[in-house]
Amino acid sequence: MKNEDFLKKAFGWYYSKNKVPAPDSIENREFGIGSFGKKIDKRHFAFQNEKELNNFLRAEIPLYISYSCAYYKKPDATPMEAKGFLGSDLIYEFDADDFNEDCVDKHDRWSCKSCNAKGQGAPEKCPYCGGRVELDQWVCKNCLEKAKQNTLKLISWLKSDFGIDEGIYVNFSGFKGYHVHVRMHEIKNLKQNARVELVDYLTAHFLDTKSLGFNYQDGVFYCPAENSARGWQKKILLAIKNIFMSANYEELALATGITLSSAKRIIYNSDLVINSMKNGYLPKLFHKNEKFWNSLISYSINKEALPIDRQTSVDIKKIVRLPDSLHGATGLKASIVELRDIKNFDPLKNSIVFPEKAIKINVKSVPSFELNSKVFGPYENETVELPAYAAIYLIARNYATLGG
Amino acid sequence: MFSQEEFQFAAKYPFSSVARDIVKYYVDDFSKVSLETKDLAKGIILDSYFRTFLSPYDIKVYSKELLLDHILAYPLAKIYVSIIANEELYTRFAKYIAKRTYDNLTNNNFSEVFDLAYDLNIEFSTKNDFVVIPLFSFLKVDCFDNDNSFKLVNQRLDAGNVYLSREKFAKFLSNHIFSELLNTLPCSVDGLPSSLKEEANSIRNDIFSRKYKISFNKIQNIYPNAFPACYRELYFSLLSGSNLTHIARFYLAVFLAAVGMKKESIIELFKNAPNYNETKTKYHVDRIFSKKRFLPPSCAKLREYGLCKDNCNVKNPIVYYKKMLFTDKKQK
Repeated sequence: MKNEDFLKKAFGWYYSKNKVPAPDSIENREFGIGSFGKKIDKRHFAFQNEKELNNFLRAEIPLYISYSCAYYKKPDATPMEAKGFLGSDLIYEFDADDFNEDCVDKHDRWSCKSCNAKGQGAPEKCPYCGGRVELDQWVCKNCLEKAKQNTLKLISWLKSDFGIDEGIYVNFSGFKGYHVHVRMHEIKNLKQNARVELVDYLTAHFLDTKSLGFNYQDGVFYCPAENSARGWQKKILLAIKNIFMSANYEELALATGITLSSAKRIIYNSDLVINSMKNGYLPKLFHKNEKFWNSLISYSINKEALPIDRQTSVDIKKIVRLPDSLHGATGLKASIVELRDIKNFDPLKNSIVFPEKAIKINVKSVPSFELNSKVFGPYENETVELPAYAAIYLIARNYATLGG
Repeated sequence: MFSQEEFQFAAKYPFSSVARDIVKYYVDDFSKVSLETKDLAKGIILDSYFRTFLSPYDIKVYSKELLLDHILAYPLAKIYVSIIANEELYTRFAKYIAKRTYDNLTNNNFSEVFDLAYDLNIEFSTKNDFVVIPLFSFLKVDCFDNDNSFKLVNQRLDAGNVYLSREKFAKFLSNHIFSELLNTLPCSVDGLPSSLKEEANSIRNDIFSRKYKISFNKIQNIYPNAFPACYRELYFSLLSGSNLTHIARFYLAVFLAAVGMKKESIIELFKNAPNYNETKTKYHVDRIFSKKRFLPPSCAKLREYGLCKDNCNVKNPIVYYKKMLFTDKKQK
């Protein structure tokens, strides 16, 4: 049996036993489906209700199904202009790939197309010849946790900064990260420019510290007074304050490029810094003034900014994974996660839908990976028996074929 | 029916509801408005398209009759622009009106921001020194001049509210005008008299045939419409009987002499001043025309006295005037 046929059979089994909930206003959404190795193969599908959607999933068994964040009068019409755009939700996406965590060096691998060199990690280009590299990317608990932390941070900013405290829905993407859907009347009618403004705010793009009141003038480094600071003013001040309150001199040295001993001396003056911030200035410390504070401000901005996938957030006609459907490259469910449950949600456990029943597969070269609190591998061109969910995971990722 | 203040406000902010009421009261048929109004409307369109900002836009002392011309010029310009039907012109026209609004609010030390906000039915409140507007109102407007400091990331944002200084609120109002105007262009031109269509077509030809020449009308040997914003304002204010300060009068006379206006014509012009004194005027103008001729003051000097009205990218207003005439000549 071919890999794709096997996956279809497995996905068909799941869809026959489970109902995928319809997205809000399903009759106004465009749907797209994908096949093995191709996330979107066909677009312009439309369903009137949840029953129609689930009948389609059971009959066609697509390996991927996505739906539009946009609402249309005629979602199945082509070309796009004929659909009659009515508005769009706001979608933010966090991908574990974007965080560059240390674990990348453990689970990701690269190979150079020019000089055939290989190695661990995910460099931008070949460290030997500078050629283009092909990446073999994996995710682990650690990088998915980072994606979750950023998702939580985004939800908190949506509330504290944008004043949005309802209409926020989160789902695991089914592979590398999380999708945050914001659905409310004011959002639906936002123009693309406004969406750009929102994502620029979240990613600190075009942030101008002078406009925000961080300004060195006549020997004094002014900053917004702490109690009246808002938006990014507040975030920057808080990040600086946290470094001083936690007496983290190593981070201070890293952020400003000063020596560890200087950082230690400066950290001793934490009280002075914190009191000065209350009064609207950053003090001169051991002859360190403009350059020092500018470095620390830049560092704080980079640390606080959210690494959001920009394209997803501003594209009002994008189609994204249907929550609670299966991901064709992992066999994991793009699980809807209730806001109150996010902290305890484990995507590599709670999104598993296939059973423990063992399946024999021929595995190519694969690093060790974790699913359902169990570690599998590493494998090197061998035949192994794995639980169905792990076997499907490797087959869907095209790292294995059915064995025997 | 309408007070002088309302007329002045409407002339500065011709998109306001006061202006709309005045227009409704005075005009049934735009094809019958005065020639001055038509000229002003044409001027607005050409200024906005060629980004010349030639028209005096800080209107202070005109009579009701003159103010009415300015008020009517805006809706008429909007009609002409809609007939011309050119996307680029829509944007430039909207930008021009937005910039004019911002300049007017700035020139009045932002004292009119709240009047304009109430007039435009903008949702806002005040807290300490800030004007507070809902985030989604802020996001509805596009910035007319791509000013980064107006981006959301550079605002004081808290719990769905944006806290703006008065200056930034003035910018917000101007951006609001820009966005609203772009949304309402083109306006319906069905059933308009054919004379308006002909006039619009003539403006279209002026713009797009590229034969358009900046129509500086020669008055007393000079071309006031080619003056930089500072002297244009002083010149037109004096013409309409405004009381200028001593230094403004003196600098204006020096400038007029430098651009070639005759001594007698300058004295004649100063007769429009409310407190005209023949002896004093003659004495100063004679001195200006004496052997030791005075040079027109630099832009820096004008800025010192608060007379500078625009950033023309020149060091001396005389350079601007020469540049404009040179461009005009080259086009001819």
